Amino acid sequence: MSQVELTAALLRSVALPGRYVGGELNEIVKPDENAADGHRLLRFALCFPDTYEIGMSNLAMRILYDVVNREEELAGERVFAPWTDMVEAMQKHDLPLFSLESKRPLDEFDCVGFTLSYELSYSAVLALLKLGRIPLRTAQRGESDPIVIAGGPVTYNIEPMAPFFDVVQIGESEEILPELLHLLREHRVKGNLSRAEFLLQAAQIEGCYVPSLYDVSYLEDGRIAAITPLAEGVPSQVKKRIVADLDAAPFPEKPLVPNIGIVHDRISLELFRGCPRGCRFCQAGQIYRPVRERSPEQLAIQLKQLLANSGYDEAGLLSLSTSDYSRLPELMDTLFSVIGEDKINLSVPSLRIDQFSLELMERISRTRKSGLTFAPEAGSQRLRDVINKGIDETEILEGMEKAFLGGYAGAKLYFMLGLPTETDEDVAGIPDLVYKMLGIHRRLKDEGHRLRKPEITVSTALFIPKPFTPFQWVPQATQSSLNHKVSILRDRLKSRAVKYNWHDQETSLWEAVLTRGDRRLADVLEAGLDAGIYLNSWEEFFDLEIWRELMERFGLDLDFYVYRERDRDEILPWDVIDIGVKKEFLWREYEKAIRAELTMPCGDFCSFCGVQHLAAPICVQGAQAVRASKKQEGASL
Amino acid sequence: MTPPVDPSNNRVQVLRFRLVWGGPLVWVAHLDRMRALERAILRAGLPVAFSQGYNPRPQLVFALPSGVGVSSRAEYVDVSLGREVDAEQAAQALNSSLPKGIEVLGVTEIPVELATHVMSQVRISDYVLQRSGISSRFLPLLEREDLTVMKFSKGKERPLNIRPLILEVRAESEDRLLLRRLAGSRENLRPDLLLLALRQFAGDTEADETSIERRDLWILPEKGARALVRPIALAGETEEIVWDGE
Repeated sequence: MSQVELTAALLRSVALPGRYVGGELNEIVKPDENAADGHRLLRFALCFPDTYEIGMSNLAMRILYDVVNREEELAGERVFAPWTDMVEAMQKHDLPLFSLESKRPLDEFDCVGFTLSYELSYSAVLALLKLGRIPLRTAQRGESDPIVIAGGPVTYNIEPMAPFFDVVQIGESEEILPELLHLLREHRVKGNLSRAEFLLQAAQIEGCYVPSLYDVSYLEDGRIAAITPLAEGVPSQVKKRIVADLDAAPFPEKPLVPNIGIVHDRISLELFRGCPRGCRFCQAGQIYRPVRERSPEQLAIQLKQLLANSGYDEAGLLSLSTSDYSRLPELMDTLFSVIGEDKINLSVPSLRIDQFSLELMERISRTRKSGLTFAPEAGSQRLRDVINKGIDETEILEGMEKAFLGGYAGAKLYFMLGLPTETDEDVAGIPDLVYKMLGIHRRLKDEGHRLRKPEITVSTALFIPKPFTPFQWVPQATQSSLNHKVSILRDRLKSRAVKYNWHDQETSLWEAVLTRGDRRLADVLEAGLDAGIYLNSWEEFFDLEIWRELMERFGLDLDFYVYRERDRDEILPWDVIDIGVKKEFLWREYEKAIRAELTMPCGDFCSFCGVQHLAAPICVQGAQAVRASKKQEGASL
Repeated sequence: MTPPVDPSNNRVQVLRFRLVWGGPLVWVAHLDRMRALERAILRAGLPVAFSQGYNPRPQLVFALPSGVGVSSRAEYVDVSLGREVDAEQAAQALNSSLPKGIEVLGVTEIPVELATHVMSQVRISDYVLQRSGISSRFLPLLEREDLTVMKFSKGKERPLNIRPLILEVRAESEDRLLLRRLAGSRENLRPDLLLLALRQFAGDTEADETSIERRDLWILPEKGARALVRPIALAGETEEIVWDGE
């Protein structure tokens, strides 16, 4: 094996050399030895197309590192995107991209896998392949080249990157990856399968999508005519694969403890996957269905082990909607009994603004009172109903009143602009809501309560229609209408107690192209690499004009992807994927959205989204509802 | 099993550890080194005392943290504890929890009232510079009276003549140089400036390849003392440095 040598001069020439040296606590470096079957280990490079600090904060990276290295025949090592100073230094010293563990060049791995969390990281994927000296396209790779795979939430529509990946995992990789890598070992290590044979067999593993085994044809107007499997045994739709029982799923008991500060520098406890809410703008709420919880007992065991094995003093509770965890009070009791008198902080990401969440905040902020973060998402009740946010103004204002009384100065409020059916009146609802909050503050003060000076931060992001949501057919709001809406808010949020932040539009526009994009965009992405585009998710490296020019060069139109309304019957690029939730359900939800009709969260109620068929034994609530409806049918017969 | 961390913020005992600092953590900055040590202390279950206030932190003080890219056989840290423990046992527990490349060389108990004192006691530190041909490149520099380099610190660049800060240099071999220099909170020579001087005054384009290790650190044990000592002397380390300064 060759090893990239990181000389003192190289490390002294870059900022943050700690990013590149590895050697953290609980790192796993497997020796170059044979497995019990007499064959060498399969070498897997677990890549994250962003910096060390971001990639190490990604829970999937940590889970997969553990999942792969638990297997005797597999060795998983980490690769992150070097910062531009390191890229320059590597080019100067003629060094290829390498792994942190054994400093092995990327092209000496059997499999190179990318965890993809956001579309803007696509350019970094291509750049990393290039730095790793691996042919970019699956069609250019030969028998001796690594197999390049991907996984993560954006792979539900991976079409713009389809020509670059040999295999794409659809669903939760801890279920799929070991099976896929064991099959790959037959090809790469034992030589029992050719590359083509491997790909054909991989396409038959549940949750594996092999893009090169599908042909996509287009109509003259640019819409898709058909998506056709190219070989026998290749499914016409790839079904997502998920973990049935989170308590039984492997988790890393000995977490890697980074040597430099990272973005989320704490223990992560994953409470549950999926979300019962069904907000109509939210992709995660659909693709992660159904809800699957970890038990409080299991989470307590994890917390105890993770604290002892890491020395961290903070644990974050992760889920899509913490206050929806079904046994939250019990969980809190259990976790606090693990923490005891130790100086350990618990933290939660954004919460719903309801009574329950405030009590939760009160309990967890024993030592530190961090800020409150709430996401009403839309300013008017009508629009909150359109997106099925399921929270009304009274609840929001009551929540805020309790927060003021509980010693909080205010909250960070997140909203989206450009939601379907949004009018200026809806937008004006945002300042109305904020001033009502400030009014409550004034009233409480007049009543003699001692409060902190009010501080409310309003942040708006631009709504981007996502695949596999009820809004997957709608056009994105135009830039001029968004500018207009931002200016409404800037004018009306001029109080000293209010701070207003808005998100950059240009990156959102490119994300919008990619998220609902098709395979033809691959040429544009490759040309972007040639134009030197790399860490595109960093605003300092983003330039929309380059993308506009490149799209034009390939005869593609940004408006086609971003501002076009799709028909109900249009074949969408991601129709090749089956997430369980049915297209008919999404359309039904879209129609309800236009009528501003609510859909109840999963629970006592089942909206028959379709996932109950994909995962009948797992979707407990769905299964119950199905049984109940059958009983009813029986009764009415 | 490790004892539970004492909840009280009271400092009842202070242990001074001498550490070897090597491996990947050589390449991280002081704040990250600090955090790595805090976590090791928590894993070891030492009853470290926490600071009071909004954001309580474990109480530890580095005598003189070595910079990024500098390894050390004389990294000293004073750790305040909220409950009394046996020093040797604490050293063992810490040793087994330390990350790769870091090791406890010695431990001693110091008076509680000196818990945060050590930084102001540091006067001198000794370094070993190693690289092929380092001696013949470096020694001629000492004949100059002026070795002014630009020191970049706290976002500002300032000229600094490092020559007066170098007390003594001895070539052990062509490839290995021992260097004694002033250190501490008043006058301090950062070792990376030596590399800068090599590049600037000896035209040494490969200066950055030089490995730098701190060999020793010397403190003035009390006001008016006439000799500098090591904060913790290992077996065989008996010498002192005569000192007539403050």
